[in-house]
Amino acid sequence: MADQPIVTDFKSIDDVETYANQATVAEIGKKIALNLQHLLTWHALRVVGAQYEPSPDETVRTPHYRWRILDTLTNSRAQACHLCLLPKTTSGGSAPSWTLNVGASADTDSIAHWKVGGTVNNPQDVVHRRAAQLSVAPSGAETNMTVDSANGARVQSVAVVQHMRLTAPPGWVLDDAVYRLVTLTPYLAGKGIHAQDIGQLVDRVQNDLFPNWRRQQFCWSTRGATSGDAISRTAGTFGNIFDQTISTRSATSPGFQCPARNAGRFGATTIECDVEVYAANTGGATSATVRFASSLGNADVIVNSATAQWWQVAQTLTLDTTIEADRVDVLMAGDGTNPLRVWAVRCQERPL
Amino acid sequence: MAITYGRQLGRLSTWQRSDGGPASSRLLQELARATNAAKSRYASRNLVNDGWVSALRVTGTTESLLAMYPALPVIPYCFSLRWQVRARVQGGAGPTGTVVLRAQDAVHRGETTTGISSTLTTTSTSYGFSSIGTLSAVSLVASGAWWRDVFLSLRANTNQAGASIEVSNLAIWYEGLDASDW
Repeated sequence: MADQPIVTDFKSIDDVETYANQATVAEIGKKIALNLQHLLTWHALRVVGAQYEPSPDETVRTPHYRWRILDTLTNSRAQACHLCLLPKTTSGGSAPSWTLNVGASADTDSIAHWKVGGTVNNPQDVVHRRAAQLSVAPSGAETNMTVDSANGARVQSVAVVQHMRLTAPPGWVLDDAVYRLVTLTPYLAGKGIHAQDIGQLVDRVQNDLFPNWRRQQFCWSTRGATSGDAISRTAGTFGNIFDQTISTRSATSPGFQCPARNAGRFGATTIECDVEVYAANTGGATSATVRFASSLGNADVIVNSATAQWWQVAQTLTLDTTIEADRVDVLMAGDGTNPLRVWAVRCQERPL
Repeated sequence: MAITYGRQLGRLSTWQRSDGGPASSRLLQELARATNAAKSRYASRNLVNDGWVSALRVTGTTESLLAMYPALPVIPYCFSLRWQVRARVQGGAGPTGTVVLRAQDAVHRGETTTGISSTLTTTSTSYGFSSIGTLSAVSLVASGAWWRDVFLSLRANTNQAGASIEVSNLAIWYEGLDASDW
């Protein structure tokens, strides 16, 4: 199923009229279910562009992107990464190479879960694609990722895509989807089938196949390991992570666009998200704060340890699904005395 | 379980009479419409959500590469790529800055200016979000072979040699059909 796009079988009413004379409803239901599966089984985990270009002779392992991927992957196994590389142009020395590391440890230098990489032998070979199976603990442990480059392999951009490979027999999925389709309440009431009914079907099938499936709204990081490249702020007032002279969310302040329009399940006008930061408060137990601000409110993450780690918040960040894209600003405030250091932020929808 | 056509018609009897049309065609039409609308609803998703602590900057009139994104799957027919940047222009005398999102297929990937593109402009000297640009998936299909993967590059220039344009945030997402008509 890797890289398989959605095929829209019904491009016009004329097509449907033709189909009506040839197919049973069960067959139509199967096609619908297949289409929906394709829609659900693709997810961009992390895409980075223009992040890192070391000198051509550089041989150190770097950089480290701090990522978080989806939660429990019980029913998903395929993982693909795509990289754009700009290999060194100088001759001699070892061939440029790259490695994408995936692991549960915060420091993925020595991770063991998943590793994929390659050697750049052809200067024109600017795009590397690798597919590998991501095998993480089904307990829901989350994972960090890093990208290493060596011998002048300039990592221009990286995309990591998750393809959810169904473990259930396809027949089970299709028949079950058809069954759910015909038992929808509006259908039985003789009101016809509308988008929301199918949306309900999508929700149910999705929830059955991927119980903890979450859509990631954004996952951003500096390119530093824990020892460097953090965004730092000491002042006890909020400053935007992209421009610390900006203290509040406004129409023009920098942030992440979250396209949530029409994404509200069962017609809801909002969706709820969990937010996280990878951060450390050098003041230790003193409280520093990272704030996620959408158009509908804030979610604050308190950071009160000097040990760099992922911090989650018990609060909810709410996004507006009635507009094309709700923007989320991330602001940070230290304790007034000691620097708060932030390496990464993430926002993802809660599972059903 | 096997669902037969007859069982479906039985469940639709009330709706069938009120519509007056052939039940089979109407049913399938509704299924198709609803399915496409549902796809639209669920296809509004992020591809790229990037930001830079130090803004990406281009000076002069030559279109230059700011960022490059590899191998992103394309959903054909009824989906488009939507995108938005936060940018400003500085220097020169009333300059116009242009940001281009260029889509290339696997053959033309890289630092060339082939492919199809969408352009956004600004004349503002202070940061602001651009309007939302659109790269039509129909254009992707029409430009040649079906682009299974699309390679995206972000480029920019100004209309004056002494002016520069800075980009601080980029978001690219799928946007399906507007389901409001259903």
